[in-house]
Amino acid sequence: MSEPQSTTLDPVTFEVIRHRLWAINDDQARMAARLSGSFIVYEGYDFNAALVTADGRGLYCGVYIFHHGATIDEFVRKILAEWPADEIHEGDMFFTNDPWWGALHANDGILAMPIFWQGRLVAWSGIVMHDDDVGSPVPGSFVAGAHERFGEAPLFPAIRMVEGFEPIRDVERAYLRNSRTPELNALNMRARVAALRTTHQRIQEICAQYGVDTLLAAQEGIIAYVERVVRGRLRELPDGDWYAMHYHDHDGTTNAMYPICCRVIKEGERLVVDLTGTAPQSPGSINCARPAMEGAVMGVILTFLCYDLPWAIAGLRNVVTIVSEEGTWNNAVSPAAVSFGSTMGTISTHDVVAQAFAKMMLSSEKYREEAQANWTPGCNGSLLIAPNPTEEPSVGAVTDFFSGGGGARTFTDGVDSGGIFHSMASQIANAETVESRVPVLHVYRRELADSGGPGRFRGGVAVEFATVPHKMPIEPAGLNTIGSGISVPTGRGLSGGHPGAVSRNVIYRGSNIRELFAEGRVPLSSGELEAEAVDVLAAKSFTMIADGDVLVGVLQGGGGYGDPLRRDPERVAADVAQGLVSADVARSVYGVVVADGRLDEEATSAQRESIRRARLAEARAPEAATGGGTVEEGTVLHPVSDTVEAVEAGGARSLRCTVCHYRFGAYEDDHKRAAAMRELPLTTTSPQNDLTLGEFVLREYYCPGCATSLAVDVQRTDEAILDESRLSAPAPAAT
Amino acid sequence: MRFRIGVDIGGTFTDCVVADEEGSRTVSKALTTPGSLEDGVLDALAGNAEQRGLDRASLLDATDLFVHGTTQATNAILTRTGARTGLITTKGHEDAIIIGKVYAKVAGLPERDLVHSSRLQKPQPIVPRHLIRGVSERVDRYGDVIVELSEHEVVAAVDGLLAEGVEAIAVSLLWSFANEAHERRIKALLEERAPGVFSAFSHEVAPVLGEYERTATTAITAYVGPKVVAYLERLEQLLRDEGLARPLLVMQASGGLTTVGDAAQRPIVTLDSGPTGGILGCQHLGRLYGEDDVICTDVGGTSFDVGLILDGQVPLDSEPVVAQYTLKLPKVLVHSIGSGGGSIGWIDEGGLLRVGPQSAGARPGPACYGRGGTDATVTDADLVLGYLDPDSFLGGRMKLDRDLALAALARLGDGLGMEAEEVAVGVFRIINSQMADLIRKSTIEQGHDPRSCVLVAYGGAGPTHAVFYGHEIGAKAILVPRDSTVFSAEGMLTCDVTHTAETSRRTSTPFTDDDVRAIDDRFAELESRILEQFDREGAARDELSLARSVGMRFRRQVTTIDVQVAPGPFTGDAGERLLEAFVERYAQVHGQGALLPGGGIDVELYRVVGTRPIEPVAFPAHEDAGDDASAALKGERSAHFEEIGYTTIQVYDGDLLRAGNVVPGPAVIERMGDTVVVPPDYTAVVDPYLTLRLSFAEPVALAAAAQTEAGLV
Repeated sequence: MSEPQSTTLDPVTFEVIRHRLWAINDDQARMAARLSGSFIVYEGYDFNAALVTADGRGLYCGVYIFHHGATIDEFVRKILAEWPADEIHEGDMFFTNDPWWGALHANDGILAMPIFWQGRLVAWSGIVMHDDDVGSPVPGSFVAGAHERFGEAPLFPAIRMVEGFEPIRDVERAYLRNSRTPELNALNMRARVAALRTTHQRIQEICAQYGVDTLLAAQEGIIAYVERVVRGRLRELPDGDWYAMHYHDHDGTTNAMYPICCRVIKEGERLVVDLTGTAPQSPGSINCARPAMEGAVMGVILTFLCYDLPWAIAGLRNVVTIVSEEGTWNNAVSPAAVSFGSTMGTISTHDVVAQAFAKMMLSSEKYREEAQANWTPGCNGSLLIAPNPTEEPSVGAVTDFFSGGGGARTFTDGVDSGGIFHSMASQIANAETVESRVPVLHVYRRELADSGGPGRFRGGVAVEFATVPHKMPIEPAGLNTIGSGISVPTGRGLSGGHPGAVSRNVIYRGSNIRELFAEGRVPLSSGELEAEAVDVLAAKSFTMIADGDVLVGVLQGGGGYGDPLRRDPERVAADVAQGLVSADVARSVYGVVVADGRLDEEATSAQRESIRRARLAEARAPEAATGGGTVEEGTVLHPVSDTVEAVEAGGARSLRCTVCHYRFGAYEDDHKRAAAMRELPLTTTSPQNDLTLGEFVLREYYCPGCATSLAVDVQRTDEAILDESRLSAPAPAAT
Repeated sequence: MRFRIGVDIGGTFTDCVVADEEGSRTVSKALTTPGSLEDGVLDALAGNAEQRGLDRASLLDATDLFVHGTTQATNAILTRTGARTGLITTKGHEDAIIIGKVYAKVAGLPERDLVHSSRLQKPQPIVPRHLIRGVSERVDRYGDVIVELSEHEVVAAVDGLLAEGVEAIAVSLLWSFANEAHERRIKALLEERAPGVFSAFSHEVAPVLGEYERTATTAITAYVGPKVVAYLERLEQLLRDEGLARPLLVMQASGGLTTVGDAAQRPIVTLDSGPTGGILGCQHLGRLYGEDDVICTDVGGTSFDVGLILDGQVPLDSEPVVAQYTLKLPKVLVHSIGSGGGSIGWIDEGGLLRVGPQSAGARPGPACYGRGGTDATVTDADLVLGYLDPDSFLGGRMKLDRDLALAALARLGDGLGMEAEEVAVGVFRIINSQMADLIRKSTIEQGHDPRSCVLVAYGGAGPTHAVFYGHEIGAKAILVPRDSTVFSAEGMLTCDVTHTAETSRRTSTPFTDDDVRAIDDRFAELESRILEQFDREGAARDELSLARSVGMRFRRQVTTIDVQVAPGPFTGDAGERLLEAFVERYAQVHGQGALLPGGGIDVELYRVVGTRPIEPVAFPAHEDAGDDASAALKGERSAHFEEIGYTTIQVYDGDLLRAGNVVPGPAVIERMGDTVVVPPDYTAVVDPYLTLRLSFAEPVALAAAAQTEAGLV
């Protein structure tokens, strides 16, 4: 519990208002979702809400898709800069769907409302939700093939959409006119209006009950409290730099690879998130603009450092500096195409930042339990756009955007079918709900073996599904695929854990599914289907689908943590029994032999020993010559990764292996550069990786002393070794 | 003399209250007897009958109303001690209950815990993966059969599950609520091949859209079913054999009562029925006192339950979460943690003193019970601190052994380097702050200010701790009802019998004449189902009331709002009036700006709730006997309070206190089943209903306020 900064506010009142604002923000988000007609909103929870101070500082970001909520304060600041104060009235609401104004992409319209008490502006509130179609040449408005935003849906900067708490008819009509789903979008607009109006009343109730000064003091108290706690946590972490680099596949036009980079620099109470090195903006539509990128960075920091605090972005903005080059694909300048920005540039940003951040969290005994390998990275889903003779076309998600695996933790496995990192509150729709909204039949949905990244703690497995168009009013329907991580994993494991297996979307054209049904059979895998043709869909694609075409898809699994050879063999055997890991991967990756459903301990020991020998025998020598010998004595300063720790012995600080005490180098060295490295095909991790690009390999880094795996990267074979982490020597103690 | 009886089984005690026609109560308690709960019920009834100079049979013979609640179902789920349960579901969707819509990892968590991603886990499965069997079959959204049911797969699944030793089988197929045929066929096959095995079917338990929640509800029904149903049927038979002429009524999670026959179809409705009784009792008290906002706190032997009354209403949860499973079952909102009199003190890995959630339960119970318990519990701490008297626990019917309590606390203290008394102080503080935290979660964290609420404390250990946790959260007054230890049982005597019939059907605008006729038929059918249920229970038609409502929404929305529908034939312009009522209600709830003029509207759900009102048990008001409580003073003893340590306190016999009496702290008020602690800064006032009001405020002013409220001044 905290004490407020203001002396005028007693602690109980502060607590009551703090929680009430929290509840108001959560309620407005949920209420808007309840009133929405949009499937992806009320089932997928693709929305968020935020409360913002009168001068545009983020006070509460909701717990739904975090980068949605983390851009609303930016939008409010832009409104305040653009609109004269005397033109902002009680009952007004301002709308944008423009990525350079704060929306993630054109579908994610934000409606923001000033909140007044007796004529005084006391706060803002904003709600963002996904509208199914907002125009553009492609139904659903994700425009694969667009080269600039003029080929995508129209953008609206801050326009006054609502006056006196009611939509302005002509302005709204202009927005709706571009959409293939005007009635749905109108319903969503009213859902936002209704929720914001309720928030207005509830904030006014606080003013009436406690006084406006108390409300304002509580706002400042919340921001100061969050900033104070975050600064304290940063002080407790060692200083240093932590690195991550991922690839993003397919830009909407070609299957080009886009590097995305992050270096987290921590010094004292300050954080710099440096994205330099990220590829230039793309000629395709995967780009995102700066507000979305910042929202993604803030979302990661909220998750790792504010897991028990109100999500007051303003408290973070005072502590964090984001460095990013304009014109890169997650800081794109107009007229870049951005229609996939919400799911591509934004999500890949948080994946790479989360990876670098997790490495930093590992370096503290106190906070290492917060570190997590990447949760299901990237994005994979498909929208079915079914024409309808009498009504608007039915546009709906037929696939489970959120059913990937959770990232492994430092003390336990990732959550199987655990969902996405950017919203712990997200959910997948019941198959019945999908089928009641979209003309499809879900043939199966099951947790897929070997989809979770191997590790001492395994990444969560992902869900595989198969679906077939069913009783469509008009055949065929369009299928818009919104994916990444198809050709190369877009996330990573941690500390020697492997990345989760890649995602995929495959259509079995003209299959025998209806014959199977007629014979009374329900297939449980694509192997049971016969098809006229098999279409492996590109990460971003638009195709047609008709009855008999079975779409089989899967999301990426969660990343693993730690060397898989260090996993408790009993846990591996249990995974095999549950169908979560195949016996082949158990043997080849985990070195665990399961015969007739039983763990063979002797064979397991032999297999593990043989893998360790092969690792060092086949590995390249360390790049840097900093390592050698062991450090047997000394005081442990702090951990660095699962099996690397910093020690001080005889006045010298160094990094050593926790298993064999091999010395990797001085405290300031990068232990990965002192490790032996072996390249392996991506199919090592999972047979599910068989459709990845051959030019990408797993790079495993081993302790030269004991062959324990320290890190796993995914790169091309000709590339330089990536940095892992560099600690900064502590400043000399003040005398 | 005719009687009404309420019996509530808690984790430690089985409580019984008997009210006669004048509202006069006798209360009794017996130890809960796990494994054969009916023994505890019979013991409690015998104890009560004895107080009225009757035997059990003559008491039962003169009983007009027998209401019963039990936490049996909840306990079975929380402790994972339900039946070994198998699940038969649609092939291809076996993992639905395991995937839990991805959301199961956060279901039921407050926001604060929800964002703590590194700690999230899915629930330990009620049905493990190897007991889930998929069978080939498929129905689509129109109810059309796409894949015929494979009967030989059903037979193989049933035989396989039986070979695994399952005690219950849940059956939940996709779209079963749209077409029941396949589930019915499986039901028939189960009756042939597994006649003794308890079974539950999703089209009966939760015939609504959403296979995850429907399957979870069905699986949990099967999981708790064998125990709950066998027990209820056994008890009803026993009571009937002893002379009870009226049906045994069971408290439902939704707040109404129902019959054993009805509950046996859906045993899950008995979930949390004990706590529900207490909350409805608080609602009744709130009406009596004109208090709209009430925090209801129940401290039992094993758990602490918090409920709320807001604006005089009991909030319902339409998708309650139990042990991280989301269910389709309307249920009174209750928050619970494992903190109670039996909670055990222990030392964690970090060397810190912790309390609960492990409990000594009734057997062996706290060390001071002298039943072989060696763990130090909250009750042991209460005894050592002087709040409880070893000789007057349970009205003196049970002796507590202070030496055994001291020895247990001393053993715990050895690991902490603390004396027994110090440990007792620590256990007491920790348990109180855990309780205060849960109240904060239910009030402050939902944006409700506890300072505008009165707090009602009941349950055996509630009155001992109430002032401490009530003080911490700043409740405006703390009320301890006269028969606090049996308050949940008493609350059940303020409830009505309710039956609900619903059906999911979509009717879209524009309404045709056929649509209007179909709506009329639908209500008629639902009403006849309810009336038949009441007929079976022997209720007179003229005492029943039927309330119709529909769930409506703008087309494509997911959530409906309830719109009341007038009784009588649904004809003529009834369709238009329904739409007008929806628009009016929608604007009222969400604002004029939220309306979508010209938007399509769907009716999704038709519901009829039938109520047989039961005159709530009377709470007679007593004449003011003045503030002097000395007639009830029975002695002094030493008790411990923070900051001042052990001090001499006055001990009052609560059963001798009269309306208007004022008891200044420090004092304890010993009553039949509980001990109310009045700390030094507090004062207790006995109000006209013999409720104790504990407050910081001036006692005289308080007493006057109570008099005014009771209409006696």
